[in-house]
Amino acid sequence: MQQLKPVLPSLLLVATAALLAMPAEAHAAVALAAGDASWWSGILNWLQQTQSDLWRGLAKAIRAVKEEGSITAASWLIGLSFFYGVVHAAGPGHGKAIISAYLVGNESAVRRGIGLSLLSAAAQGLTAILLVSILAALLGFISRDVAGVATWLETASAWVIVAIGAWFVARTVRALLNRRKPIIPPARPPVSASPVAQGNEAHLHHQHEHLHAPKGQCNAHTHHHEHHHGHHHGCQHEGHHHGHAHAVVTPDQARGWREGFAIVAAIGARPCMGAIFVLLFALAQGVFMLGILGTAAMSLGTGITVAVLAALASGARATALKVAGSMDGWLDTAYHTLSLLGGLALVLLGVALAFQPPSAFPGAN
Amino acid sequence: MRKIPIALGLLAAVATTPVAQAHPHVFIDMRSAISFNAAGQIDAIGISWTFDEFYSQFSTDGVDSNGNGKFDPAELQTLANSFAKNLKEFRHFTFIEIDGRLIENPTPSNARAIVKNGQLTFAFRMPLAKPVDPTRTKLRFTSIDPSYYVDISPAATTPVSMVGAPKNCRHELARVDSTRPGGYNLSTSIRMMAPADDVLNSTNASVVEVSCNS
Repeated sequence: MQQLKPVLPSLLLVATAALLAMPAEAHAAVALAAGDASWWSGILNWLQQTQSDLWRGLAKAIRAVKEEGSITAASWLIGLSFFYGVVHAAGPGHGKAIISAYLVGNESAVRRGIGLSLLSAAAQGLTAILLVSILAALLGFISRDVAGVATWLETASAWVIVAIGAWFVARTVRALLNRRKPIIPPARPPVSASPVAQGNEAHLHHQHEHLHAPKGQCNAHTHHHEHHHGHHHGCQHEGHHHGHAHAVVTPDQARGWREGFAIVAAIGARPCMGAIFVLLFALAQGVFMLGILGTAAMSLGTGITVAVLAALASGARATALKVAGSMDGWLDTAYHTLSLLGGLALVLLGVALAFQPPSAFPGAN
Repeated sequence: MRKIPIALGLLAAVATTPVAQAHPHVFIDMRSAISFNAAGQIDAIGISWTFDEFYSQFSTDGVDSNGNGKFDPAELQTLANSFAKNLKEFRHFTFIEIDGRLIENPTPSNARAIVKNGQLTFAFRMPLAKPVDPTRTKLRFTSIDPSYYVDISPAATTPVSMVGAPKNCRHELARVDSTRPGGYNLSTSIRMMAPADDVLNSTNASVVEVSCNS
């Protein structure tokens, strides 16, 4: 166990680096560190070329559906849009970094991470559809004025993310401060106390998503439950580590979903410019419904790419906590470190997004 | 515990797959022309960018200001002027290097806009303040958006041509390998990169190089 101690900090470091969406230099550095970088170059070029081809193909597909009106042409359009979404979302943006930061800091449930990713992609698509429908189709805004509103939404979304991150940081700091207060020595449970009852009590307070250790396994040692702050080691002492990452109690599930939805809303408020371009083009061609179809397919595609990353982020958190759980005294540290890092990453990402130049080509005005 | 290396490996994979900057929303086919004066010196570079259909539609929306259903020359000129003005702080995404030194503040002239088959082409000329003798001086240039919001690629047909070139001159179009060290150090925005010393080497630009035998 002892020789594993350096592993945890490095794991956390890597996780942080990954969730900060890796500044470009780091990507190159990783590729170079890997030695032969030609595969990297190959992937990069392939992605760039594919994306470019798909994008141009999309415009042709919309025209084709308009002219032929066939099911085949429409299916082709939907397929292209979907695949474009998958490839396109491999680049920065689309809330990948934000979702990852949130998941590393707060959530180990891979399934919920995937759900949040798909939801935020859907929300981004929906925002684009609403924006173009209302502003361009109904109110007759010209394209670049629609983009102007989109830019405004991008900035608003960034500040909401900063606020959410700050809230997470504040919460973690509060929990840490509470921990430093002298803790009233926990009452030793009476020997006669039923371990089952004790287990139930823990469930009430912590609402795990997973099952606890089999009943009876924890009764051999004293069980500390400091309910005033919400972490906790189940029964990982005693060397019978059952190794469940959920030995750390996640915040109460309802609140978890609420926070998840806040993140989805913040990401979703930022529409994808690609979808806006497609919608405006379809509108101008007089086939707005095709734009909506394409956007829906595109959102599903981006959602899938984001979900893959989200699943890995959740997995990274689970692994870090699992490793920490197997080392005495590390679980708390790991839990609070992850919360803090996740919150800080959200703040930094939000600020970076808020101050980045508006994502528009500086052409016409 | 055997899972730790696997987890690290996965994380490394995550870290490397979200390809830096593979996030363009505007696609440009670029053509360039190298202009020589009577003395065989390079006196200007002509650049033309043909935008993808989506961006073409986007940027020409509202340009038909008199509403006659077509783009009149005056309307297109207004569009071209607005492009030229707004691209200024982005150096027109165009980088010209003479003997390894970047020309500061190149100023374009003759900005033009054309719409053909639903695609907008924006063209401009970058005159060189001091004409360059290509037999003694190496000239390289590219158009690139270091933030990669705009993908600028050489056009499939005649991406580069020369106008009035002496017979001993030739041009070469090469794609710089993006995996070089520092390959992504221009990731933020061109706004931030005033002293762009090595832009032609440090990005995955398609660089045009002119050389003439003496």
